[in-house]
Amino acid sequence: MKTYVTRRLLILIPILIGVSIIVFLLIASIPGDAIDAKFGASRLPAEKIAEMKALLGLNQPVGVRYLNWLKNALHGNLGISTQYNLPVATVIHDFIWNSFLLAIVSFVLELLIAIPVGVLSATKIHSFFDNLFTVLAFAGISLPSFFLALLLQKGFAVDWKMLPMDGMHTVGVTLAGGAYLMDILSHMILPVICLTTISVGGAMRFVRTSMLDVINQDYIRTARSKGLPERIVIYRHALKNAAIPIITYIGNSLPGLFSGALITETVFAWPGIGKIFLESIAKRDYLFMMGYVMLVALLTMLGNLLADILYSVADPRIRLK
Amino acid sequence: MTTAKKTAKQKETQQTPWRLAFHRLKKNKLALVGLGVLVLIFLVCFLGPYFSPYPDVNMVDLAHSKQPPSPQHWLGTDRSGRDILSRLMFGGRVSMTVGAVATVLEIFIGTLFGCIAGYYRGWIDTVMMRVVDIILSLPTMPILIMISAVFSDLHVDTKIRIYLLMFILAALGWAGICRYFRGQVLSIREMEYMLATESMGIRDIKKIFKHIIPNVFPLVIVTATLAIGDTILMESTMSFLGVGVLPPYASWGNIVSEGSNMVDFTLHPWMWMPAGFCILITVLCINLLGDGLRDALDPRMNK
Amino acid sequence: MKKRKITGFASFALAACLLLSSCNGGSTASKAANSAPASSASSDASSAAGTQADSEEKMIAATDPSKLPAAASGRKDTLVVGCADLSGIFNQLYASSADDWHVSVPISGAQLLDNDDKGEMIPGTATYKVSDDGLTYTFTLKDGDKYSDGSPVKAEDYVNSVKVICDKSYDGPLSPLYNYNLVGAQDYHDGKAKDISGIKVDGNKIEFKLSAPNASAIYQLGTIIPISTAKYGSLIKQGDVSGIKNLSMINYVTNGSYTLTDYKAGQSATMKANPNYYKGAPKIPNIIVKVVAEGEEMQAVTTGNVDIDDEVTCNDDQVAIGQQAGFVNMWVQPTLGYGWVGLNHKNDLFKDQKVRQALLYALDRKSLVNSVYGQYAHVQNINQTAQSWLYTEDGINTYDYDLKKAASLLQEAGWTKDANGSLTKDGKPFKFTFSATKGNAVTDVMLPMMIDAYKQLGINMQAEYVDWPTLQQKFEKQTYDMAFMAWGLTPDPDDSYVYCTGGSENYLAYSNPELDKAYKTALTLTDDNQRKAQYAKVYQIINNDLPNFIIYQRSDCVAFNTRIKNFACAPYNLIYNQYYKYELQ
Repeated sequence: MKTYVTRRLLILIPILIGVSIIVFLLIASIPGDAIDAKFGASRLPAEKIAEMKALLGLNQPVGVRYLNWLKNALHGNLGISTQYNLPVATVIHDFIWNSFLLAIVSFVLELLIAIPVGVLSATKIHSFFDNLFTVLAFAGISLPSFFLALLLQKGFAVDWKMLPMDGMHTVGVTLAGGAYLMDILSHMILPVICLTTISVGGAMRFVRTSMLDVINQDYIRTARSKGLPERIVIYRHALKNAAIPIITYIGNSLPGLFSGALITETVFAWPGIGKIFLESIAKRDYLFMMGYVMLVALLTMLGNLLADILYSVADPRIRLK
Repeated sequence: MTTAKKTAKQKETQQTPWRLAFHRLKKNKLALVGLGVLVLIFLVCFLGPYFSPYPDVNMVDLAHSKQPPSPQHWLGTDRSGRDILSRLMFGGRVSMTVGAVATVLEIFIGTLFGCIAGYYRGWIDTVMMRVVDIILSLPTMPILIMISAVFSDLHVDTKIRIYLLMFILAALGWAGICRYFRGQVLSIREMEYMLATESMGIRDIKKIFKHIIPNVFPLVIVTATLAIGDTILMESTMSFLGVGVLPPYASWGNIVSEGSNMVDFTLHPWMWMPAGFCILITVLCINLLGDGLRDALDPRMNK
Repeated sequence: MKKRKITGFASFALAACLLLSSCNGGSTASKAANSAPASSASSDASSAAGTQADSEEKMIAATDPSKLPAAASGRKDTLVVGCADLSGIFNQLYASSADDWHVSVPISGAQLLDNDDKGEMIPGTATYKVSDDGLTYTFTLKDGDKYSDGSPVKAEDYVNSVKVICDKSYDGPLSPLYNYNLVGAQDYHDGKAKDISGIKVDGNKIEFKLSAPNASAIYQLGTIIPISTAKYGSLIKQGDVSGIKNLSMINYVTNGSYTLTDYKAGQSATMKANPNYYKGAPKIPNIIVKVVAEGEEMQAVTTGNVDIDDEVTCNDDQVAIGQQAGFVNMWVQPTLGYGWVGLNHKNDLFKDQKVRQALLYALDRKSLVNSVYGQYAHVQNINQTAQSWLYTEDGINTYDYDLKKAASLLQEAGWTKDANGSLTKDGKPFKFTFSATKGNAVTDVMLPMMIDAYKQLGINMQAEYVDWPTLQQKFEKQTYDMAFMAWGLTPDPDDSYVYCTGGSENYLAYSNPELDKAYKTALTLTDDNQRKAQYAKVYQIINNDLPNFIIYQRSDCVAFNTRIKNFACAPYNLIYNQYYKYELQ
């Protein structure tokens, strides 16, 4: 196990380097740079513009810039964000927890809905209940997030004025303790509904499929034929085995909790990392873009690793090599 | 005589796996409904414009802009006075074509590479899988937006840009499919009939195309169907963000975005809502159909 | 001068950039940024003559204040201001976005000079005198100006910010003063001198010496703000001003109207009144500047989430929503600027004057403007707004929409339709690409319209969406065919750098000796009547030769609820210059 994890971690290194090269080249080939974005239309003299580009090292060849970035990154220095004039790590830290808050709540909700519904669907396959939730689950998957977000805003915030339209806090009021939390909570409701609706369908289908796989196994039939009550068959034997893929699913989902929701956060003006990233592209905030993409890539890889480890922990039959 | 009759009868009822699958699919009401609606949307989008009184979908008529639904314009008009229903039909063509072509591309690349990696194993597999790992660790949407930003400066016709969009979508989509099929091929490879081909000395290419790909083909169909839905969603998000299909061409995504400023959003819902529901219904039907196909083609579902 | 923004969420992706750009006058932001905070102004605008009904300032008053939502009436001593984005860069020397100015202008400090509502420079924290030869500017500080911590503001504090701006490590949006002929500024920048020799401080007097007269210098010098030497002097090192750049602005010691007390990254900034403000303590104790998603400005006001938002797109629909709410006042003022379509004269297609005229005749600007802004904008024909005393309609062709005329002009220019109906000349098709930023209210309507109209003439126009930095680069490198831009005007009528051969912002690659000469003459004239006549000539030449297509002038709209009393706003004095005047009911 230990050697397996070490080996997997070692494999991460070339992949991360590969990712960083691709992303750096990609970012560098986007026309225009941070100085163009910031001062392009100003009447600053060309020499001043050139001077500022040189200060950021933008006049150097891509290769040199990449090596500089790599060298600094290896020392834990991701550089300064031109958009915020703060270290990239600080900017990420400032916004990532807001994203995490949205993501973790909707993820917990997603599991709370998906697991019971998925299990029930599987046990009553092709029933009305199953069909209904199949359609609902697919409807959720099929909703474009921007469309859903707009619909929610129009309904709950604009037309019925039940919930705040965007942002994270009601400004202009000083709140403390419980009231403060309630305030954030009320701002969270719409984005959380949006995120949960989009993702719950996938989870539901996943649970249903995993459960069906197990139910069709011989040992379940044996259990049934032994006359065990259906409840025990399903919840003691089947669910326990179906839990393995579900745990993998959870492991795989963990990085998503930190990567932010680009569209949802933007439409709801939620100060999350996804929204900030979208803006950073337009501002050509190279180092922040780089830092963000690398972070997400790293998290994705760690998520896969975590899923595999959980898989083996949950199912002793699987040996990691 | 009796024996002859018996064989004939046997032949009649003998079912190919495909027919079996079709039979099972027919019993899946949801999938059938999905298929039906999908065919309907398809027909409306591709044939509808021939019956529309607004054959030139890009014709601007500012005198009749922002009109609510009426007998002349069943779904109203947009900010440029263009008939929304007609634009929906043309947008549907674009959205569905982009979705389908991009998916076919990514499935083709993914399956081929997956089969090669799974079949040859060794260093080819290692290298390919590292490339796949790299692509899979990239966050899709941010990368798509950045790639589009790179290409935004390219001097090509708007029409050709739509093809470019298909390639961009496929460029990131193939990796997951590749890994999936590699896994399938690895297990097929161990099956006895593959060992038989080995001993018969059949050439690699032939083995891959004649024996491996046909075996993963049902999976290809299922994956492809579901992937089309994803791709349509992806395209619509990109168009919504302004990095997808460019004007004057319509796609469902950019129709939603055209009406997405707060004023049109609250006052002129007919401008953006129908396109959103078109995406929803189409992708939903594709998913239902894909799910039905999976059930139908998956031998484990045999009862 | 503030940026105008795109309507529409759609803008956010690649277009968040537009903060600085595009649509309705975005480039204004950075343009004005460089000429310093509160808009550069000149006496020229004082005799503004707005003749058209839609170019007048007007207040659309609230009809039913009782409808004020509880969300707003519950805030007792706090004003909430909406803006599209906050980057957290609130030091006026570094703030480059007009959104950030909602915070940076009040908290960074008070300027030597202010401008009045007409744009004329008037005493601020100092009075000023210019020597007869136009080379020496003397500012005399008013007595008793104090920082928020109670310490006195000294004359040398004003020199600090000049040093920062002229430093070689300075990378903010302000133009280094050596561009305005300040003696010794270049040497200081290059590290050849320890001080800027052209600045002399004597008691409460500051004297700036120029090496040659410069009409724009007063706008640069007048907008200088102080940096407390006692507090922050040690951060200003020659060759390294990163100390100032990285300085946290929370509780920054300022002589401005407010101090920053809290900043929630990307969400809101909280400011507290500075009781020592030299114009008197602001009436509203707290101001919070809150981020409002783009396109939702009016909703933010009607739901009571914010009290005032000055970034509302001004069109019939928005005004209708505001009026419906009952408690929303709307201040509408013409935007000092215009939207235009740039043509790249390096492209052979656009070298023929007749072709350019034909392309403008084929563009139905009236319907376009009406469709986008309704009554709150009008078609613009010259590169000067009706607010300026230089504005003229004499000898100006209005290029009213006329497809037939366009077709015949093209024919005269030698373009003929081939069998497929495509326009060709010497076997080459008439084909070009239009670059625009996504989510821009004007181009969203204009592009399909142009494509359609030009198609009828047999012209193949392609559209492409690029984001702001890309478009900017296309302009700089002149790799575009046709593109849309909007910008703000300063009262200084000199825009020769846009149209003259080799001008610093001649992105059009346009060259017309006749125009060059006309501009040159205009710059030497001092008599107002002669100047006016000469500029009329300039405008006529541009209007006839069409180096670019000038499309429209639109309006700004400030929406605010009935809590706010003593509201004031003017094209040259935007709300963040006037916070201190406002009162809450």
